[in-house]
Amino acid sequence: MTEPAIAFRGDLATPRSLRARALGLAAPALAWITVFLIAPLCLVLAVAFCGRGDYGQIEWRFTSANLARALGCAADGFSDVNLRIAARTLWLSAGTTAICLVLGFALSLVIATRRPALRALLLAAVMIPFGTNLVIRTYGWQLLLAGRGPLAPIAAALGLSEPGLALYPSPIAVWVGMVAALAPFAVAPLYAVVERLDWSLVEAARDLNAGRWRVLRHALLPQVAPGLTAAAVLTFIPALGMFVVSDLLGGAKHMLIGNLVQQQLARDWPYGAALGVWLIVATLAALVLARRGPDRARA
Amino acid sequence: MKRVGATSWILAVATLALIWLPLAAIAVASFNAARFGAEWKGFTLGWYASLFGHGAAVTDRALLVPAIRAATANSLILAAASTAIATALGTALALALEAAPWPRRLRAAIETTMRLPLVVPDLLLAAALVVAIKVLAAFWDAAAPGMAAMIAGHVTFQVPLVALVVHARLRQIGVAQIETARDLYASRWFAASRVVLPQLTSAIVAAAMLAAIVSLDDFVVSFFTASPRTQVLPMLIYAQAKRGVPAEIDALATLIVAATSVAAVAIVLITRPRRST
Amino acid sequence: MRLLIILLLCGGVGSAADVTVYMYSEYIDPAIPGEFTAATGIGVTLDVYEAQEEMLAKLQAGGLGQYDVVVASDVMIAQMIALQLLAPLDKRLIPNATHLWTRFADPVYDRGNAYTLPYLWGTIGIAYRRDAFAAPPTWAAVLDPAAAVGPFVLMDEARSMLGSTLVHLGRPANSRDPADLAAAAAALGAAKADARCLGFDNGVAGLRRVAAGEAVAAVTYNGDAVREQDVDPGIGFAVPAEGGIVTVDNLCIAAKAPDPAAAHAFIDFLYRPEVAARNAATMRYATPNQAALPLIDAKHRADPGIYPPDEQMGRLHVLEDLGADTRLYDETWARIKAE
Repeated sequence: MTEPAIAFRGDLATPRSLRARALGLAAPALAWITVFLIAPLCLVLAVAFCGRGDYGQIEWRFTSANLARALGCAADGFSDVNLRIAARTLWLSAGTTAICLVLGFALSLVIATRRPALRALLLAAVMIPFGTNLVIRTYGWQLLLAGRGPLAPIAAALGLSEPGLALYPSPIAVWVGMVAALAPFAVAPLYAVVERLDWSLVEAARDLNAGRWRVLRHALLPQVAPGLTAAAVLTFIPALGMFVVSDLLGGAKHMLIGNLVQQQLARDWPYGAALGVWLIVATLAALVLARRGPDRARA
Repeated sequence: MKRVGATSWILAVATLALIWLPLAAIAVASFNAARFGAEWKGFTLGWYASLFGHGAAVTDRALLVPAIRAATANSLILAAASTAIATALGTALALALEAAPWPRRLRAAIETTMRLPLVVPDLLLAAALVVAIKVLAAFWDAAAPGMAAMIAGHVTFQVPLVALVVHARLRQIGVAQIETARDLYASRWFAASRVVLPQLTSAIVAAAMLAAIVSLDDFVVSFFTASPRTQVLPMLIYAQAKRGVPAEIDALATLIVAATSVAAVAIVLITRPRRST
Repeated sequence: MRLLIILLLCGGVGSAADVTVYMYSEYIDPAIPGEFTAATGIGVTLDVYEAQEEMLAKLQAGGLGQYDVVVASDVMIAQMIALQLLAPLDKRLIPNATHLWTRFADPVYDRGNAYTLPYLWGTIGIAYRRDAFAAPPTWAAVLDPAAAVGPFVLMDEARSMLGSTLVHLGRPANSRDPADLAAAAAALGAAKADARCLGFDNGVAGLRRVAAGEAVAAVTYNGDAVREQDVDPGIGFAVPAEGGIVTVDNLCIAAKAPDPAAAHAFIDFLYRPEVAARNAATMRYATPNQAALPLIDAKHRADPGIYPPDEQMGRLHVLEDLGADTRLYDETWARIKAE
């Protein structure tokens, strides 16, 4: 049965021929992503199930020992170190995401309510650090948190630390570094929805003498919910894989999954691949939750 | 009247401070006469001079400036090559999405594949490439870290960005114009090149600039896929940061931030909403 | 730090002969690559690493066909030979190899010097601020929270740090006993948990923090510390009284080296007595080149930080390859870093 021709974008053609033509346009990009991302990820999965040689090489025999070791079940008994690292990573990622959402939302509100000229300036001001590479931004925190830097005396005066002691490596340094690194990721999607906010709802709520919290919860949040979800996903997932911040500001004292993968990847291939597999699982879980979450809230 | 509460103001200012303070600290350090450390020891432009070849050749610095030059060259070459490829592929993909009546499932599949590199942590992208190179190297000698591998990785995460930006603009332009042009007996080619493309150009340029910035900034993918001859700037800065940074790197970083500022302003100007033609 | 001779801009990598060298950062006199190029016309590309494990990982991750000359520590050699990462040396192309100090010839890890020739040797000890310590510190200053005097930095290199810890605990530096390693893990874990521990860093970074006054002690290699001493006399270096690790770094040729001829030429150049002498003197490390010894400044020859006196040599341990037991150290280290 031949397909009837349809009118599409001013053209009269069969859907199949239109699709064929379009597929030709799309194929190179899709092929690239398949060859350089999807196929390699499958290889990671395969290597994760491979055996380990004496010095960490890949031996092509099936074993689930690496995945088990990644969860802590090593040959010499159970060790909860990896699970603690995973927990620390999840906690850090979730926490910094939450903070970034709050900060990003506040910043978006302020920017969106300025005059257009000032708005453009502020947006550029947010974009510039976003466009500067992460290593530079994180290294800057090393300068700020150094023992002879500007913040150490303040911390000492507040009794949070001894005079002259560097404020890094420390958990606080890692949290601050992560929030500073991820905040711009959260601002973009949030600003996109805040810009299109229907302020009339907010004003109506205020006219009805609603308190600030009520205005927030009932007039603002429902409108920005999709932006919040997008921002959460765009912040949480990169956070899961971060190792630069904890490397430069954590001094190997606050290992995250990212550091673990970085360390083990070329020293013990199957183990590194196994860690990568668990990272894939965590990413997928986050994506699934992000998709289900708003639906469930609506129900 | 759109009022914003004091809390929001405080948080907003704090956020801006949080993302700008490190850059400010580096800028200040680039003028600090101290060799290492954060203690202020006097103002100097010497580190900038050293970057451009006029510094005293102290033993531990003698190899630094040539290394910076090489890394800058590599970064630019990598960005240029990957941006060119990614812009072509991404624009084609964006056009393809609107060029046919896709059934829902197929369109969703295409969009998911398109978005995949963006939702995967870049560490995974890099790790996957490294494992793939390792496995391939067993039978194919040419499989090795290097510029080709870096380009492969960079294009992978640039294509979705370009496609999204161009596609958004395509949706904005809308079908009506094309249909009108075709109704007026314009050829397919005319409709594409004279009606759609001019309006798309600014979006393509903005997308390319965005892709270039992302490539220049990338550290993780480059770190895992580079060969000794293809070290790029972020890798050099990272290696220095792990060793105790000489002040030339502060000067370099400040220059990079300045260049990024110019590019950011350019992008904002290019993508400013214009009156529709 | 890398030195990329402008070959790239002159139209084509590989059109001129080039030797790619992979070694520790700041481990060669910066003038030597240029001298080699002037003498032979072969360009030098220098790539650096911070720790032995990093070097091994890079070679296994596909770097094998990208490096010509690799500098590797004694502890890594047997492993690298087993992993087929090294190519045998053609001694006919290295006439200067005869200058090798007999004491370093025919080592346990490479019988007959088939794959390696020693490059420089040195010790791992503690760089410290003199004003913070009345007497040169022992390992307790960095491994025992009770004895720590101020902020300290540990070395981010597995065998080196674990070996030093084992020596501090009075255990064999190459112990295969899981109980010994568990004890070392406990000690390092306790040190790391202390608030004054500034974490694990490579030797040079730790040294810089001592130089900047942010730490009072850091585990480093002797040469780096002695060089810093010249700039800042307030810094001292000592191999603790309990003993320490002595390492011999070796020149090797990668199995898939792009230009083995250039690689051999580079090694031969480094073994010229005057070149070896200058390299060792500038970098403040000890040379294994017998003919070079008389050419070195007497001041450096007499410096115990560079050439440990015989009585100290007796307390220095050499790290050995442990074959299948290597994974014990890998896992212990992974666990220590991960806590």
